[in-house]
Amino acid sequence: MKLRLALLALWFSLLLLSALLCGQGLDPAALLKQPADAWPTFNGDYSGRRYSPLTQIDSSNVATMVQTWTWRVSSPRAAQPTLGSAVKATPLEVNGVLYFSEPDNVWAVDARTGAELWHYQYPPNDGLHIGSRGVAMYGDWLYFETPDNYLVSLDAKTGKERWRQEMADVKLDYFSTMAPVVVKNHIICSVGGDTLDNPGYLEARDPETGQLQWQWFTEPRAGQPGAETWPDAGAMEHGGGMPWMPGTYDPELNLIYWGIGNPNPVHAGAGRMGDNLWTDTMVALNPDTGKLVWYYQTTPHDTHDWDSVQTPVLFDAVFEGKPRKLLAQANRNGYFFLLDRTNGEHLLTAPYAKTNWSTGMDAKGRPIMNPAKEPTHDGVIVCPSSGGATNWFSPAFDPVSGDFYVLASDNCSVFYLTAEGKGEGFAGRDFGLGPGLEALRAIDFESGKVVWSFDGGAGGGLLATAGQLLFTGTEGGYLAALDPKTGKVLWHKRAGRSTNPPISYELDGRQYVLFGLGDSLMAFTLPRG
Amino acid sequence: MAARVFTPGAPPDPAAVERGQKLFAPTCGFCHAPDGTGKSGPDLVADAMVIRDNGGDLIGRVIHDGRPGKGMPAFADLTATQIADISAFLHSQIRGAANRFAYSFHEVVTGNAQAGEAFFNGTGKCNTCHSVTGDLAGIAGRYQPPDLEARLVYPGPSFPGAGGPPPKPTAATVTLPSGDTVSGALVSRNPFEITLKDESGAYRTLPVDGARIELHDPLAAHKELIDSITDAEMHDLLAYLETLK
Repeated sequence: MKLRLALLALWFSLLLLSALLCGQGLDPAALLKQPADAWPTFNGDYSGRRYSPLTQIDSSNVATMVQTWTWRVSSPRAAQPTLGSAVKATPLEVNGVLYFSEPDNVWAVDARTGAELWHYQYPPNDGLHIGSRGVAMYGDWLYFETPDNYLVSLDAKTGKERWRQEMADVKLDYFSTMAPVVVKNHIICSVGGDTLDNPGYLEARDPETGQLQWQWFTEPRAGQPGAETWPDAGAMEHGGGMPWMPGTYDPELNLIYWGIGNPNPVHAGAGRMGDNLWTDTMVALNPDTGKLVWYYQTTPHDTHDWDSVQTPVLFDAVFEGKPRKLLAQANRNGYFFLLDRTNGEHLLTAPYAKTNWSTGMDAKGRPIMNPAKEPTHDGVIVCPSSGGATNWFSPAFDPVSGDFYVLASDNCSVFYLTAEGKGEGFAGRDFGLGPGLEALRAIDFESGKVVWSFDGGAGGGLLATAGQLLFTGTEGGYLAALDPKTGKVLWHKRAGRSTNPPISYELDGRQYVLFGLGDSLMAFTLPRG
Repeated sequence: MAARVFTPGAPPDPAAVERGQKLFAPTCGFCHAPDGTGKSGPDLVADAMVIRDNGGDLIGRVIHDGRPGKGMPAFADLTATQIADISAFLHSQIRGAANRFAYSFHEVVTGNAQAGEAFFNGTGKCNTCHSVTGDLAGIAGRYQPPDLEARLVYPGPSFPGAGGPPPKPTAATVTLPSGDTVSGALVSRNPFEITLKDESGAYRTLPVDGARIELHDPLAAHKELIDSITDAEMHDLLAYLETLK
């Protein structure tokens, strides 16, 4: 009898413990509605707007914000030749804990105090250490991608590794940087790397085991629809197209949206005549099957390294008098695109930065490449440069102002083709013409017009909030909050160069705004009392 | 720049690469092209099995046995060392494709030097500031053609680590709301402040809010040139500057 009681008590305490553990985790169903106080995914929610509904910090009090805590890397990082030793990741904030990464490294930090809770270090490896965009969370588990192309799952409570699964062979010069995206019971992950002519793909993996659920290649196979946009099977199989930035998701339509990277060989187009689908293309896939539902190509036959991986931002609004489910993207090629996300119907194309490579728009609204601006042995001046009119820096959309915000750059390069025979790898180079102009630009989604430009806006990305604020970094190592309607500066502080997109969350009734600054995270709140 | 930026693994032994190249061109080049990029046979520089190969451990059997179903003959006489040399050559080709910062340029100078000279003294107004017997004397000996071409359009470092002197500083005069003015060489500027180096060599950082800022950028004409010069004019001007050895 005593034993039975003891067992019963044990059973109850286990039940209680498991309930508590669940309380620490993240139910994927919770991601289907916008979280008010947390930041549980790369973009905060599935829409990619990076629009926080928090209002405690607003235009009337933002100037009084104080620095509440700073976390700085203290643990030694992997001894690797590395370009990526900086917090470029968007941290997740779930139940008072921040989770974020650099190549080979994941940290958990107390979101109230900045105290480090644990640090996970992945073994030294041969992959390119260029950056890590962050982690994903499902239940009590974290997921992140390694430079040598493993999807690793960690226990979020302890940082202990659960398993790792290989997504691609590092010997082929693939490297992986994306923050995985959790959609229902799928961990959507991807590979990157365009130094050799490998095919790109997206995958879904099982959250419990890491086993492959589906794989979608960014080029068709011979005989499939889209194959007519390539000259032959060899070009297609070596066509590049790395989907290296996290996509977005519409739960009602059950579609994921992903921007696909540039074709290979990067600067040599002669061996791959045609549009080269689905490189530099916005695609909509069914997340349960990995089947393509629609696509819209933003740069047909790219020869300038203009990965079209910029965030597909989803919002519903009236466009030309009709309510629409929209998808907007400020593309690396210098143009802003607006599509109907139910079917990919083109609605608008407009330049938001300096461009000189297109002779106009085709019937589908795609910019037409001026053939005279393809890289040559003797060089051609093209704007934007290979770095693009924007890059991985996260954009934001404010549903109140109706404006789309992007960290833009007006810059040009001389583009060279270096290959003599068949192009391999990059097969060319571009030489920059001066420093260019960095600016934060507001684009009216309905007209595509730039309504204001804040020169000197620069950094890792943007955050819009319902407090009528737009957060950014600037040149000179400042952090700033702007009025989203006018671009007027409402707060600024010299803290260091912004290296990631800022986020916001609320704990115990306090709103935090969090920036990544190279080797640090810095949190701001209103003063107490 | 870090030694290992792109392409994993150690570089192959140069002597093996040279031996491998001599062997590859006559033995394999007829189908795979002398540089390995493929003709009637597949492109071996972009081939996953070749890239994964280590000293012939994967390609050795294919070379030795051939691929009868696909029309590749067997090369049963090649020794393990020779196959390792072929592997070394192909790996050097793969590394060459992957390391874009080590690419070599070809046929960069294609323009008409005479037309370039006319542009220099005419439409381009280059002679307003420059002289081919003064500051530009011997310029072609100081830069490689693609570097010189980018610099003739805009003479800043075209990529981090590129050679050449930094551009001349912009002269700035800042008039503060108080009416005081500060002049000097522009050091940096951001949305909130401007930093100058004044005549005494002291750095002066001033708020831009409410200030009037006048800038005299010695490269202003080059900034305009980025938008106005045609590619043909750029090629001609390069050809002309290339005569200034």
